[in-house]
Amino acid sequence: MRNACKYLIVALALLAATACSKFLEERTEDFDFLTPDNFPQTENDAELLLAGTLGKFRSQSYYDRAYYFLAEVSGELVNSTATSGSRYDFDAYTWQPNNEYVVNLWNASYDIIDGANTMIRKVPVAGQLSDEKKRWYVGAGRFIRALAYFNLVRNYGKLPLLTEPVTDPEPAANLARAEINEVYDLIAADLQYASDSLPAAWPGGLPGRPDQDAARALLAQVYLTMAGAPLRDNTKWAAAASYAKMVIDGGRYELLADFGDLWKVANNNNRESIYAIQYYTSGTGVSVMSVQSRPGNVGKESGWNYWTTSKSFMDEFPDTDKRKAATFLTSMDGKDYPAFSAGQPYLGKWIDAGRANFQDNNRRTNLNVPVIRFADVLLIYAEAENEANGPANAYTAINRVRDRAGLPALGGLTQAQFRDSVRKERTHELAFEYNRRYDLIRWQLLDQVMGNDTLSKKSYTPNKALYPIPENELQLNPGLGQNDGY
Amino acid sequence: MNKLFSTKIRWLLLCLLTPTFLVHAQSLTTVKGTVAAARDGAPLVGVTVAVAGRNIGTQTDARGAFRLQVPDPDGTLVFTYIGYLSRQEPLNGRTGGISVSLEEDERKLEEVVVVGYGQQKRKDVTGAVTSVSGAELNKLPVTRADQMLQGKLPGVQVMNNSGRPGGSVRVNIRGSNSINGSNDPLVVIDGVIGASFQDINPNDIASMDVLKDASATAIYGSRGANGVIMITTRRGKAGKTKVSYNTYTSWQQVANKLDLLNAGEYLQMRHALLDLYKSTGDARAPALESELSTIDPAVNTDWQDEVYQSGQQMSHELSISGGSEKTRFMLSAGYMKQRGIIKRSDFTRASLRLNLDHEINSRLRVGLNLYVVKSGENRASENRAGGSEGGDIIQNATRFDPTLPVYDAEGEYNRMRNAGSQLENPVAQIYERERRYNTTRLVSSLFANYEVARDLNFRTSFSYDYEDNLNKFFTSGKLMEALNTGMAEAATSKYNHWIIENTLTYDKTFSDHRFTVLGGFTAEAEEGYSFDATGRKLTTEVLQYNDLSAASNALISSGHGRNTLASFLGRINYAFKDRYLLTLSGRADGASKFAKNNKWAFFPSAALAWRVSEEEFLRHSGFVNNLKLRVSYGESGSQAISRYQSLARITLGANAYAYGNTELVGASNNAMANPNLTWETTRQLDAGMDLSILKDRISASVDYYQKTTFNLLYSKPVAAYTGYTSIMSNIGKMQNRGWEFEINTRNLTGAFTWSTNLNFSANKNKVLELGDLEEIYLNGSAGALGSGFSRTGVLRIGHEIGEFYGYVFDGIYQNAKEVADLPAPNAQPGTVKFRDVNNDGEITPDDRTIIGSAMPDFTYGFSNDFSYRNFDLSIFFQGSYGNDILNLNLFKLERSGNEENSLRKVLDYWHGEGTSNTIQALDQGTGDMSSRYIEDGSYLRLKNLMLGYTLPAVITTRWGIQQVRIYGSAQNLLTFTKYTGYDPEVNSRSDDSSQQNRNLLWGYDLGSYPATRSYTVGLNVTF
Repeated sequence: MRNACKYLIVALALLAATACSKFLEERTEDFDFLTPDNFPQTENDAELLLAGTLGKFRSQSYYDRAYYFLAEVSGELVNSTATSGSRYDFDAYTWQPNNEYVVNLWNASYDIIDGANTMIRKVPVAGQLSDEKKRWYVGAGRFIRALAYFNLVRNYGKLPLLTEPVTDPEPAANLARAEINEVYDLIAADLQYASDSLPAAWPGGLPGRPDQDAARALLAQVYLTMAGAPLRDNTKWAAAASYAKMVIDGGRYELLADFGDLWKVANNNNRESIYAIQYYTSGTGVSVMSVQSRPGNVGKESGWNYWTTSKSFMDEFPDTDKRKAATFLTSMDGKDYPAFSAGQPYLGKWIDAGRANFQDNNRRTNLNVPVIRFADVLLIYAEAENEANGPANAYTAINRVRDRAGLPALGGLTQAQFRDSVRKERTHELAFEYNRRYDLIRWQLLDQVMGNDTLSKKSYTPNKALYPIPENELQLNPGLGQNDGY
Repeated sequence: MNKLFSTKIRWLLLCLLTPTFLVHAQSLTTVKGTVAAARDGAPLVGVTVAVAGRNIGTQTDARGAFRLQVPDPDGTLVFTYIGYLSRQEPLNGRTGGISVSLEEDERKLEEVVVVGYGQQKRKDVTGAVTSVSGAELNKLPVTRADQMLQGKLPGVQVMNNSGRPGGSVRVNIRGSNSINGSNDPLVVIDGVIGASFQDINPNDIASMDVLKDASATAIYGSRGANGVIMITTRRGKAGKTKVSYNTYTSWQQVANKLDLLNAGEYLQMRHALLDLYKSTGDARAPALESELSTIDPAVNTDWQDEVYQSGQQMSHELSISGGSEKTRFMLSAGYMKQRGIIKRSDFTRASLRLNLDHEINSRLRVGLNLYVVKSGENRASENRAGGSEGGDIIQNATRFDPTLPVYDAEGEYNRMRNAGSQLENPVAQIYERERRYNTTRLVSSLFANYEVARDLNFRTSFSYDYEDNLNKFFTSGKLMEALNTGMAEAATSKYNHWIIENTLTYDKTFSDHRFTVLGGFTAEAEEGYSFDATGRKLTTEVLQYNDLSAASNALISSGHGRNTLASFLGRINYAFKDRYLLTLSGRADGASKFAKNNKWAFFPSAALAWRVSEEEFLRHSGFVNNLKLRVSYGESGSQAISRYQSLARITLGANAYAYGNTELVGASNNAMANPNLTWETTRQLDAGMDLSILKDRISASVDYYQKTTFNLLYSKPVAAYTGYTSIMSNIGKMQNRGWEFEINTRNLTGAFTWSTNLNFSANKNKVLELGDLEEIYLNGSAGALGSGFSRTGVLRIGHEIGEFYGYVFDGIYQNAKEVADLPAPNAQPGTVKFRDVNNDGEITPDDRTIIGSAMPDFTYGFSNDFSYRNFDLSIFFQGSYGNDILNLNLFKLERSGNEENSLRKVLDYWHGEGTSNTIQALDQGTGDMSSRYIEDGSYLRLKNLMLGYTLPAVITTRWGIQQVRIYGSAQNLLTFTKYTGYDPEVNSRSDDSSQQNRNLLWGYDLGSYPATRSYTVGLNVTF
């Protein structure tokens, strides 16, 4: 017995020493996650990355909430109902570098850029993808990266420009910000690649992946923005017009006959939608855009009462404008808007009009958010063509939009008159669609409009054309430098 | 364990003595008598009665009686009994009616202390080890064993995170070492590592020994840094089978209610707001006016009364122990049920334990410990201040509109008048939601001891534990989250853990030298699997989670992981002349969790002790009977990360996106790799002294320690432009320094006894390094309170953890001049004013500063025990001093004129210069994170007051019962505190999913289940 024990102990010790290294390995068969060592390899893998990256656009840190405050509440057409706090800051122009929406949009954007960079970097070396498919997924990655940087540069100005996925934080820790034009150069290059390599349509007919026209339309919008402030690169008017024209001439898109149909869940991905954030879920919906946009005191139709527009903006629309009813919510649950929580008209586009029972699905909606729709492309073309060559060839495009709205066709305008008309058309056609602030900046109207707005004039300063870099980013990398005035 | 150990020796002796006794039996006289306890006269069972100088002996029976044949009627009998002073009684020719009473032995030196992989006599201990017996612990009726430790031991800080039945408890030994890892001490039950306090039946505990310094904990290597709590469960003793039954019932109530606006006052505020709107021409006036016109002024609902009830707890525990010299057993069964003070919340636990010991032969002993426990909980939701339902039950009971009855005319739950509000009716949250948590756990251990040679012992054990969790959730269609459709979820997880441990111990004494050498090898593996199914859009709600196929939309997910650990350990104890003691110990741990190059680490320690009282100059002192000086230094570690955290990970998400109406799974980068991750190591210096004087009437211990933890693991923030917000890194260094002090006195002995224990702990934590960062900001608001609360705390070099960060609240702007003098965003007369900390003439985020700390300056416990004849009385105070609480409930509850209810003090709102400097004007916010929300969290509470009565033995023995004790007690009867929330023992972020948040976010109150005041009656019977 004693000897047996001794042997046992010796055996155990030996076993221990030899078996240990193997015993202490982390085995992939135990993992409940994927590792970058062998991912992505197949088309399905690339699809997983694409969906995972696109899905981040629809979070409350992005299109579903934060971005709306930055893009629209900060304009004069949409006001939040808050009287203090981070939402009210966008009415009062009192945001600080810790504002949650300023932080959220930054963080979500770079999370998306990391996903896009991963696709751009790793799809080309995936073993089981054809060259054509590789181009498609890299093209999709570059479209996503361009959209993310485009929204970032318009809000924050100079940016840390990441074009590779980060695997070690050290080299990226002291990155300086790239100039605004460098950011736009990357955006334009990405979109040019995307429009060259993306398919005209993805096989299978499912909407939601970026395709060739989406890249061209977005590139038209990017050039339009580059032509305006702050870059004011006049050469880009023609470029914007030319990419918009490609989409128009391509003939794949048309205006819906009834403007109100654009804002119904049943018409998600309609013939006018070129690229949209997809919000469908079979479960309880994900988007809070509708519940945020409804007044709080309309019984079972009630929402969270986040924001309203104003009577004065509504009054700009002639009653003959067929867009007016769909653009403004003025009556609900037997109440007219003066009796709504805020006593103002609400944003009709986002309320999920025609919903049978708003309380279902935890009041979430499946309504898509358009990133770019055909009417936008027509107006980009009209604006850019007028700036580049005068109004002669721009009327057709703007009149298609006006015609649908039930407004008379334009003709015989000077270039300046046309400019005013197209700006007004844009303001009315695309009202509340994540663009007001950027149009005001492009047109150099921010000082005039927000500097005189009742809510914002007290704290308005011209430097607020840019949001601050989030405070945590600056703390971690002081070399980024803060935007002026913060 | 001390009793067990001594008993074994005694039985061994008896075994050896018996044959001799038989041989020498000749011309004997029979003597008879009884043995009782001096304190209360209760008969003592199993007292060894022997004839002095002869190998003759017996034991007392159930009535304390003995009968012994002695060779010499004038000889002397020796009475020995564990826990009592032995006594010699000359017979002087008596043969009957010998009545002997034994005094309890309060001396602790011969006590046995359980240490890692062994046990030692208290006098030989070189480290900082404190102990508490089961008898002392069981005075307090608790659901969890760790609650029993509160205020009992110096250096052991225990805090109830929540008052909910089965609620979690935070135990910290000598402060917090780790930012990212658990700061919970390692719990070792009967030698088995990694058990949980939650599962053990408190009645099964014989003693708890707490290992605090490095010399004691280094033997646990990478898991010892937070201290080790050694729990020893009761074991059977040979002899008559002992049956005991313990029961109690207690009644609980919410200790205090918040002082809120009643309906009339609420209406008064709302009308004041309407007047304001009208006077300023605000577009919101018509909506508000029409809303107020519908209010029935007769309704006044106290929502706190609607959710709270009187709670009740009952416990039954039966144990049977006994056995023969070769085989001994302890069998216990326990059942405990607690109904909470929030309606429909409860906790139930049933447990079964079998501890078995058997001697195969004189060299080989085997044993089995088997424990099965099943617990179930109906959990009330707590600790949420915002989110999809506005808040949880506790918050909503304070926020819901008091002018609304619970139900509307149709019998449906009333919603807030503003139909868009997310604030859920708290009564609906109680009745329309199920949250059932069920756990079944098996803990088993099989062990063998083999005496290889004289002085050389081999011990091997195999332990296996298995846990099965099944959590079931149901939300009816009456709650907003699942309106009209209902939602159900079942989540199950299974956990397996096995350990093999082999140790060899060599004991040797020659002349003045005494050695114990221990060496060992252990290996273990943990594996977990989880599965979750959530069904939405239920076609019928009747089946709830019982048949998820009723769901027209379902989501499933699962998870898996495994980690392993292998270790070599060793220890040398050396004593010279019983005066100079040396301990050297160490452990090498290898763990799968760590990166390839850092798999192994070694944790050594050394300790020296000098028993001054054994020196010639003190040895015969009548004053000092023990004086020991101790010093130790060593390293122990913490595996602060969870498995796979050194690896880059890409995770899948269901329904990540959709193309049209086709839902998609998506993949995204989840974490960067850190190939250099390694252990957190804590170096600890401890110096201590133990002193007993006046025959142990007064004994005291004092310890000073200094711990430095380096290679701190932290989810280090990285700039978000990298696509990540953090990476797991070894970045920092933290220090804990402190004093511990304990004094035990026996003030009165004899018929009336009075003893006192006072213990005191002061720990000072300090962050020494955070990699290349100066500070790290923390958001403890759980995201529900907006940007103003994006930084609520800070971890800053040179400061302690748990510091609050924000503006200094400086009252209310009284007039336009004050606003002009100190401009702030959106400031106007009547809004919240902050202090211009940096004196730049305006309020900017740079004016935020450290505004409080959740860390107490010291904690303490003070208990007094009295006994007189059959009565015993125990008074136990416990407290904490110098800690702040961030009462985030005030963010909502101090709003003025809001549609949600507020504290009564908002009636004092600002409505013109000089009217208020505490509550802002109507419709203004309570402001960003500021000292307004910080309150002093110090408290002193009468934790337990207990009066017991033991029925006289003369009566109970007639019934064949050895002992009957009845008692009544009250817990939390008195609490002295300035804190205005429900209770100062609050820790709302304790159940956060992130360990880092749990460690760093102390003292947050976001509406946690309030602590209770309770009254208990109980009965202990021993047969």
